[in-house]
Amino acid sequence: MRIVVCIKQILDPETIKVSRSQQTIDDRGARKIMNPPDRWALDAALRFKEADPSIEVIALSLGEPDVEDILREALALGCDRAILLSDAYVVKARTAGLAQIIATAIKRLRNVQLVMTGHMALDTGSGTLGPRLAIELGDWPVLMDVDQLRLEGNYATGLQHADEKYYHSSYPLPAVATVLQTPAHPRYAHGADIINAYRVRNVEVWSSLALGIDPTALPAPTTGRQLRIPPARQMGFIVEGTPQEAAQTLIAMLRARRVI
Amino acid sequence: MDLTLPKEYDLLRRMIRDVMENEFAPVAEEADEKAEVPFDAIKVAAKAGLFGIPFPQEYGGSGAGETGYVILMEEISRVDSAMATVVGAHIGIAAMALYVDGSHALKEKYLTPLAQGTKIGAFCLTEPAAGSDAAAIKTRAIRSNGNWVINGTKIYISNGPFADLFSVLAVTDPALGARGGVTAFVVEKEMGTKIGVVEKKLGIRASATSEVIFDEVEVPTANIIGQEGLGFVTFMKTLDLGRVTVGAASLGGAQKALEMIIDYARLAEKYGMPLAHQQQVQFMIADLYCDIEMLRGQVYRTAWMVDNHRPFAREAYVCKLRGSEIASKAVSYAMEIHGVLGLSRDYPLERAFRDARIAEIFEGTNEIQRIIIARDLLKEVGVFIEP
Amino acid sequence: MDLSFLEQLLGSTVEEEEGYRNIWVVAIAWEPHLRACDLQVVGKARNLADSLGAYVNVLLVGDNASEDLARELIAYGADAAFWGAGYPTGHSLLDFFNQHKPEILLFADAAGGRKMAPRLAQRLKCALVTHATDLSINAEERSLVVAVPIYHGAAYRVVECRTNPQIATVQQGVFPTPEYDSWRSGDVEQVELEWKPEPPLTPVEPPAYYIPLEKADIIIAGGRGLSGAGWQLIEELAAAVARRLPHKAIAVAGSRGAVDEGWIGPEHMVDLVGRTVAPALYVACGIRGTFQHFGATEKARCIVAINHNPDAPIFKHADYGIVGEVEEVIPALIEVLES
Repeated sequence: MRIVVCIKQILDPETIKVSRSQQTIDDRGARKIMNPPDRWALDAALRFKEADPSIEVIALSLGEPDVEDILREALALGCDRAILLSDAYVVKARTAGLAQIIATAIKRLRNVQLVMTGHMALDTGSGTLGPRLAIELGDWPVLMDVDQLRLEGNYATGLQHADEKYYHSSYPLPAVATVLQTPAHPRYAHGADIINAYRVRNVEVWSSLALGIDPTALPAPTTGRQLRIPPARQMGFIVEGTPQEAAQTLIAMLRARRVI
Repeated sequence: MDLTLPKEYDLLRRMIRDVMENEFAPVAEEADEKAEVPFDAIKVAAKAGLFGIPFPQEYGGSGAGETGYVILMEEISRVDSAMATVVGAHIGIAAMALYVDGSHALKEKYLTPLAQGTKIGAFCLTEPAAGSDAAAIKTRAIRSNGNWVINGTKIYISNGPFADLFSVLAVTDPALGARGGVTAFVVEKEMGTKIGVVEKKLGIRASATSEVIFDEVEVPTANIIGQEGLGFVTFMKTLDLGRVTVGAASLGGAQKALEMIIDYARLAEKYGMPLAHQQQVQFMIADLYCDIEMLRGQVYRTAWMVDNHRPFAREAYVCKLRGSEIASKAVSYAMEIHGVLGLSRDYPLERAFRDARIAEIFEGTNEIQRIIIARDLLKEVGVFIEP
Repeated sequence: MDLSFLEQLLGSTVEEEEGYRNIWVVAIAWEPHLRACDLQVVGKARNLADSLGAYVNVLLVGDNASEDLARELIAYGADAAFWGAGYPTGHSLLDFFNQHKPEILLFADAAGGRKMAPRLAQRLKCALVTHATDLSINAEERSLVVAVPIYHGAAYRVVECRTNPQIATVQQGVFPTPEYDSWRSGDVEQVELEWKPEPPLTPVEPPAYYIPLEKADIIIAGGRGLSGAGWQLIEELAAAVARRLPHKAIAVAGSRGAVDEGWIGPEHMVDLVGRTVAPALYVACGIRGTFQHFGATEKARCIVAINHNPDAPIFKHADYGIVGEVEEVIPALIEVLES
């Protein structure tokens, strides 16, 4: 059985600074890492492989050539293959086009039973790749924001997290799963695997030509984007009133600020 | 000249840092308090390959060379110097002796489990009457029925109490002395080694140090590391390699101390302003930063020389000598700046302070390092100093 | 290869297409009542529609959709409500919206919408923005402008949709629930879509994980300002918050003072000599706020302080402070949470 895990390279949120004066994110000195939710998805896939060594886990990503680093990390963790979709056209793809390209690559791999990805990309705040891929792959079912994903025979089962509750779901393979982060820390790559990931293993690079995609036929990006930086935190605000009034006001303010 | 390390080293560093922060940092304080070795964390680290980072993959290691080993020691020391001692003794001297001069068969048999972390190693050189003057060792190995029988006592052996394999230096021909009369052996615990006094230490308490007693311990001839009679050469080669990594461990510790100083200077207030506004504090920070930068350059350059088969002995002495001093100074400054907080048993600083002192003493005291460096330089101009 | 038309395609704006008009909302009735999140979206849609001069139409689906619920939607601000009992197949939903051509299509970011929206958007190859925390209209372009938090809320991506329909999913609790106005009138129509059997959703117990202090979402911490008996209040407040937000990781902690007094164990100590935390919300009750405590909590995204001493240093570092007796303020907070 083949599992494809789609991973994304993002800027490490701990290393970026926010520039209020220029209303932008200052990414000088920022480190590039694998999107943490995708790391969880990879971990879950590798656990399936540990339980059943006949399962093949393939890591897939799209972007500039330096995205190769996260694929090497995926190889070090234990993936069987790592594929980078990269050329001048595919790196410009967004949303719908992106899903089409990735789906084409997955279809090319054949016999893929499960596609996994993290529940959200931290740098865009969106988690739509999973359902989009499901449509492009042929209307596959989606286990969304799933915890405790399991493979049971020809079914993928797990607890889908929605509306502050968990629901037990089971869908027949082939399926797509977007995996939720869990608090424990993921596995460590072995030192030898890390060295080998760079010196021995290969990252396959596929271009749009290899995929048989006509870049002119891709859907155009559908949105324009800008950044807005929230104002600096104001400290020292005192909530007035009797304990009851203050409590009401405080909870309302916390709600408005979306803290609770 | 491109001085950036290849990317696999970045990934390696991150993995080691994750292991240290997730597995060792939470238990370091308790392990130090109770003077207990954190075996659970060690098992996880061994599984990730931390006990064989520099050794070839052929023998169960990661194949990351001296550069990888330096990164390992730097990252371990950032969190826990006691662990740096455990790993340093295991990889840097015990397993390293097998690596530098062991036969292929011996390496397959013993280096592999050491690199995989399934067996722990200890390096037995020091004796009650033979510390800095290692040539004065008395442990005796006598031929008997085609094997060797070893008798003697080794002291201050790191990892002694729980090691499975011992790299031991013993006298095989007293007449020849250090040149030709001393042999290196690898001894299994099952062959009859005994543990004597376990030291109660000021620092690096989470590592175990003890006497290792050889009482009629029979060892097969196949267990000789390198050539009979040339054990001193083997051990000196091993110690040279270990020296670089003491520098790396000092680098990690000093770096951590500087981070603690900067953090504290930012938060604590004197006269209504953060401590960082006091000039003396600024001078301390600047001086430490300069020292650390220079140490970093020296350590990584020396590691490169090792990996590229260049002579590195002199550079290694510099790493150890200056590294240990810089680490001690960093921790000392940190204590000064933190004031009473530095004395608190709840704060990691006092442990770092207690742990730092040993670096100036073990692996050849700093006095010895100075003598050797000077002697080496003077030899070039024709001045020969007696050992 | 001539790429000029590719560059044109990637760089051009899309003109307003003929026939796309009105704002549509898709609401789902999993249970026999309307969800607050759906109503909030309807309310905001009403708002946006008024500035565009458009109608608000709602499509209500789900096993418990009914004519009564559809009428309720009119009262909450819809101009027309279409309903059908069941879960529509992707293709019938696609046909429905190809027929009705919405200019803007909104979903609540909740069960159902989270999957339906991207699948529909992929079929339509149109604009989709999810997890929105703010919606507005760019009047000149007649386009939807959406704000989405990124990097754990450090910044917001402001996205302007360029193709029709413009689809967005809105985070729960961002917009207020609209008022029920029984005087509002509108058309209610039942629709027949292709329904697919969707297994009923039965909620299960959330999996129990040990949450270390460093990974908690919300931390309630107490200090010397409580008395020994007062420590109870910390536990009660944490329990009340946990009941209100069952999916968040709530933890209890103490300052150095509380640990020294023996009210809580040292592994829960938040201090430079203890643990450093970075929760979304840190509530400091009866904690004076030394720099050691601040150093361990400065990465918290929002700090609330409760202390009877108005000069306590903690108020300088807190986003919100309440000056008062902890024994009075905490019960008041619990009361508000439970209502």
